[in-house]
Amino acid sequence: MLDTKLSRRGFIKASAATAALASAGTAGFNQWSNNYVKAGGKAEIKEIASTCNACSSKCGMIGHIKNGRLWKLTGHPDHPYSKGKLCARGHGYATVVYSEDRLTQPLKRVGEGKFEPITWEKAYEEIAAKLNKIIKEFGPQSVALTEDPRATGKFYSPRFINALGSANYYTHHVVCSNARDAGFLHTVGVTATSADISNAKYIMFIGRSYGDGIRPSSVQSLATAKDNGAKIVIVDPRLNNTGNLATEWLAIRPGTDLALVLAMSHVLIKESLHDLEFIRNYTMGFEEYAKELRKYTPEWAEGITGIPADSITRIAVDMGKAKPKALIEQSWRGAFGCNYENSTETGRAVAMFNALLGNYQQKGGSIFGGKVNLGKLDEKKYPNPGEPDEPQAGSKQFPLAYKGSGVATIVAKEALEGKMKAAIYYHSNAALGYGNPKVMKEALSKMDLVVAIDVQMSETALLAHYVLPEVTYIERDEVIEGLSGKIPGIALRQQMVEKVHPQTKPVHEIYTELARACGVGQYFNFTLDDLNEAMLAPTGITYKELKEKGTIMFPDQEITLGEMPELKTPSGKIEYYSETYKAAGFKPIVEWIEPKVSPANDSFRLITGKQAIHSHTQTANIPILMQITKDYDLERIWINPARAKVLGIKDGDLVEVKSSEAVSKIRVKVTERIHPEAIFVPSHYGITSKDLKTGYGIGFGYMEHVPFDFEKWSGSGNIHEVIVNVRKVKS
Amino acid sequence: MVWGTIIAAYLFLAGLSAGAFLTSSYAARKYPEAVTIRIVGRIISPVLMGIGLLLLIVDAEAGLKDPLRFIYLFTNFSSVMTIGTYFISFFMMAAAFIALMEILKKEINKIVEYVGIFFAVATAIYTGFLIGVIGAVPLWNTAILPILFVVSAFSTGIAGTMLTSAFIDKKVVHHVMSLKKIHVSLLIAEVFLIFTMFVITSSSNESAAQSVAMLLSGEYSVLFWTGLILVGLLVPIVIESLELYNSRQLHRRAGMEVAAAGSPGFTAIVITESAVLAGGFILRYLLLAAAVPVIFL
Amino acid sequence: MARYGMVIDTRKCVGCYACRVSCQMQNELPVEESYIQFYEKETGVFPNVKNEFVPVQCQHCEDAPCESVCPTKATYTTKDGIVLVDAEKCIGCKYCMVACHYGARTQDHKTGVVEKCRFCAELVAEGKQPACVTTCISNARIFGDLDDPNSEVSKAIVKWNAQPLRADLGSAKIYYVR
Ligand SMILES: Nc1nc2c(c(=O)[nH]1)N[C@H]1C(S)=C(S)[C@@H](COP(=O)(O)OP(=O)(O)OC[C@H]3O[C@@H](n4cnc5c(=O)[nH]c(N)nc54)[C@H](O)[C@@H]3O)O[C@H]1N2
Ligand SMILES: Nc1nc2c(c(=O)[nH]1)N[C@H]1C(S)=C(S)[C@@H](COP(=O)(O)OP(=O)(O)OC[C@H]3O[C@@H](n4cnc5c(=O)[nH]c(N)nc54)[C@H](O)[C@@H]3O)O[C@H]1N2
Ligand code: SF4
Ligand code: SF4
Ligand code: SF4
Ligand code: SF4
Ligand code: SF4
Ligand SMILES: [Mo]
Repeated sequence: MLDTKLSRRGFIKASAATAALASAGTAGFNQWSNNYVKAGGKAEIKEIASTCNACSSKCGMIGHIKNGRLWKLTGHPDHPYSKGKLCARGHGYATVVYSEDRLTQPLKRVGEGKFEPITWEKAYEEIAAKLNKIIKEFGPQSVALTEDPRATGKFYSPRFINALGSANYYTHHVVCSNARDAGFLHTVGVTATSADISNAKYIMFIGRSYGDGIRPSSVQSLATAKDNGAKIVIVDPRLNNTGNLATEWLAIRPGTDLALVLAMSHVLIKESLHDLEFIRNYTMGFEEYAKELRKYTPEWAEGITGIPADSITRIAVDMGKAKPKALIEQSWRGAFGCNYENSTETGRAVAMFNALLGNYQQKGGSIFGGKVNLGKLDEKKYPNPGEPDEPQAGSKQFPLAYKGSGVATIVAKEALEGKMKAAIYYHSNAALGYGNPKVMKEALSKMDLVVAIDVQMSETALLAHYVLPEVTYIERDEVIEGLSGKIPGIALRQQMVEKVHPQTKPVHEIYTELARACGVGQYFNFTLDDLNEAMLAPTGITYKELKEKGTIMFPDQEITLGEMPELKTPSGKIEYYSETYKAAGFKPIVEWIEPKVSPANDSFRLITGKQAIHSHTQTANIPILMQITKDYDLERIWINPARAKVLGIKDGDLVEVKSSEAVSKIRVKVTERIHPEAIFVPSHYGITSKDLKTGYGIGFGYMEHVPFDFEKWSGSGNIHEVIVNVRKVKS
Repeated sequence: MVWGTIIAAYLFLAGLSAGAFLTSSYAARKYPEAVTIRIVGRIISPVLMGIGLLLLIVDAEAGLKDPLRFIYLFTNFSSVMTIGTYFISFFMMAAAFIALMEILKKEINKIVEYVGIFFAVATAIYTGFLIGVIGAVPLWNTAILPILFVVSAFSTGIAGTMLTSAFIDKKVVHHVMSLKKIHVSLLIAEVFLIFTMFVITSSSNESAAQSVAMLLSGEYSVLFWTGLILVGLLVPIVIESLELYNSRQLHRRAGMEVAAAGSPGFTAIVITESAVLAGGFILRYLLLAAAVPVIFL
Repeated sequence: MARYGMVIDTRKCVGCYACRVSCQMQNELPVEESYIQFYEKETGVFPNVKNEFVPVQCQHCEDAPCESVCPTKATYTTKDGIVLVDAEKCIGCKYCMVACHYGARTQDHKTGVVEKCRFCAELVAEGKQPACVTTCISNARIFGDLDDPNSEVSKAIVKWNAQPLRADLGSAKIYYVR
């Protein structure tokens, strides 16, 4: 038994409890909770199942609500991404609901960086009038909508822009995984597979770090694989934080992963370790591919990648022997999501390598996930705007890009060309994160109408004509989300606490009301509940049940391993030879492509990556997370000691980083964990919006150094095609 | 620095107070005519201890906010701080009582004085043991440290008493030559103890070696060499030795004693005794500042 | 009666700070105050490098020095071996902070009370796991009864030969796999 006096702060003063409660609406989260605990009032604790919104993974979580106030969170045990756990962001980002820097009312811009409050009615009226005028004058293809696709947005955003007659719907993937997505799409028919990590015997990660770019269940399964004795190889110019789970680190020269994969594929075929039966049954074009691969020897790759030919051969052979429980994990952003001129081709080569191992839909291999069959709104009652006639802007220039994501930066390019006139950004900080901020600013400033729907004054919101404040994810219900995987499922985001700021609204309300103002309200003549009920109909699960559980999995619909599903490529097979590529003017067979730029002896390549405690730009203003950055100096850039020595730089020194685009001052972390050719910049800093008081002025945004660019294949941003010089400066 | 300047000042004042009390008792016996020294010692000791205690209270933020909690200070007999709290309490009671008797010009109860002497010594030792028992800081965790603190307590006590007395009675401080001899011996012992402590701890422990390096050649070396060694120890040793030497000459030529009470003598006293006091504080400050905890990785 | 303890497997820890933040939320700590400190140890020369994250919190020492030095008895050990601070008794003298071998204690700047990891005593009393253990994304933390040889934590200690950070400094109840 435990002794008494358990509570951290012992005082029990009932009168103070009421005072603490009364201050709930205004005080900061910690201040409030401190007051509250001090007051020691009798706490009524409610648990509400929902989903996290601190990153794209949208893990299932359970909110613990103490007297109507968010206290803490735990991971939803049933959700496939959280499996009972949440990462630091999952816990900490939730405090955004009580952020002092939230948007609390609709704003209209009245000058550079100057805003005035405006009523919702007036805002809708003015935005609608401008949209309709632009559409009338320049056609619907001159308006665009961009977002980070979350459950509600995925349904409402395309519907809204389509209702206006425009196909210009975009997602943030142009600076995330557009390249990988295109490479995979045209090879295996989906933009990404998943991986059966816990059962794998040999796992290679190419620029994917489970310990940095986190999804809790991935790390858990990797830890399980490790416990089971799996070989885990990390290919990364940087010994990332997943390093101690790995058995080997290949410190590759950045931008050369394609050469490595081609050479490993070469070895598999040369040593006859490829899965011939699988190839015969499920692929096409293998012969031409095999012929092309003959020139990509390990020795050739050694010269490009810096990885010894022996290692390349050894690892390929061992993977061949471990097949089909061996794989190159599908990766996400790090190496070939959107980084180099060869990124799409790297994605393609990886998907093909996995096919050589015959690991698709195998235990311990690559997985095509299953989906729950969800219902739709009855179109007779609720008319659907349908696909507009004009194609999505950018789809002609980049026919290989996945249409569902589009090439979001085309909006900026066409704005600069005077073609794009209006842009809506929902849940997106495009101005800081999608491309060079100077170019983005110029582009956004050129448009006649920019609307930002956000929860805080992001850099994008600062450039908008109208800023519409959404409630945070702690205060809203959303559209049901389908979860694809070995076992498919569904998850629901739900409101946990009452609105903190009465003038904020959930996005489905904003879209519905704005559509009405624009005269297209007929496409939004349903409620969120109508929609969710319709979606649930075929599942046999009641809305009430889903609300109680938050996440429901369907084990009876588990995919059958060993059974290949119908592939969505034109041939229905895994394509070693792509007619689609040919039609688009690209080589139908994968080949080595040089990165666009390469560092000289005295310069570096700038690379970037995630940190466990931050998401893109959205968490930099969260005090409980930013404090960790401050405590451990996490905003520093990484440099190799050998290079630092030559430059007279010591750990902690202030340096100047200079590229063709910008100059930044920052302190350095001198570490053996990075390739001498690379400077690593943590992704999440460089907030320039002064309204974001916690994040402002810490570190620099690496996008400032990235030239505004499009990779030829997928249109992605080529965000590691950056050369910098570094020199020591006085602090 | 978990424990900083305030605690350094507390340790310093506690030692100084105990030392001053002992100085006055010694003077009362050895030089009954040196009334000023006796009275000064007896009055400053409870006052300084009181200030020290106040500092301790100020540093103990949670107690400061809820003073009744200080009662709990008496509850844990395995804590040096609790034991010290008792020592200081008894010492304070005795010292305050004696000071009051001095002020009221009343006879001083011998038993109370012996109790005072006993707890003054205990208090001085306690200040050393307080940090000396901390295994987490190898620099402190030596048998020498309490001795060093006691020696330093006496020397600062003498210095504090002499300095204050000098302002009241310029002549009297030149009477008490044996006190001066003790003082010089203490200062020399201190130098010896400091370096012995450094040699022993730094050869046996990595953290202590780091601490010592911080003091001798690192972050705190300037304060250590100029503040503690030069100003706090060597300067007073030299000046007082010269004084002792001179006074022997003077005694030979009797009658000239009066000359020493002139302004050069007064200045020398103010300088040396202030230097000793500064050194005493710096010693404690440096020991707290250079605390490198054990390495556990 | 149990004797609670923990295993931290640094071979698995990815230094993600999830434990820190979940602990802060669970215990409603100010943003600047954390019960868990992180140490990083890099060894080797490029490209043969190893890196280790070592999260350190109160080790719940047996015969804890912080407890023996605490003049007010604010620091005490429960019957289950959890070292706790009674916030109503603590005067904030910080003696325990200097006495702790692991730098595991912090002071709340508002109340002046010294605090530290409390092995989530309330959760444990309800039969639940500490917040940092529940959330650890790589299952690097295991919590349970050290006196029960069949507990997961005891088995892990045996299996991986887990050791306290400094066994020579007295027995702690957090065992590290390194
Ligand atoms: N903590 C955190 N987790 C997240 C997110 C977040 O913002 N924060 N966001 C989520 C999202 S949207 C994404 S896209 C994923 C991203 O997940 P990841 O792609 O795994 O994350 P990154 O850190 O961007 O990149 C991974 C690694 O790629 C390495 N890298 C850089 N250049 C090269 C190269 O040329 N070759 C190779 N081989 N490696 C290279 C970097 O050093 C880095 O360690 O994370 C998801 N999870
Ligand atoms: N500088 C930088 N650029 C990056 C990255 C990076 O890490 N750093 N990562 C790259 C990658 S992998 C990706 S996927 C993209 C991601 O790019 P984005 O999707 O733009 O992600 P964020 O930069 O975090 O911006 C998200 C915006 O949404 C807002 N927001 C958060 N919650 C809500 C909400 O509930 N409602 C509404 N309406 N708004 C909300 C935030 O305040 C923020 O302004 O960025 C890419 N570009
Ligand atoms: S990975 Fe972390 S931040 Fe992303 S959804 Fe899951 S818990 Fe939230
Ligand atoms: S680790 Fe420190 S705080 Fe915890 S029990 Fe041991 S001495 Fe006390
Ligand atoms: S700070 Fe509090 S817990 Fe620590 S020793 Fe002092 S009274 Fe005890
Ligand atoms: S056991 Fe509880 S109090 Fe201790 S570090 Fe973990 S979460 Fe924090
Ligand atoms: S949550 Fe687990 S993996 Fe993350 S830092 Fe803490 S102990 Fe390490
Ligand atoms: Mo991303």
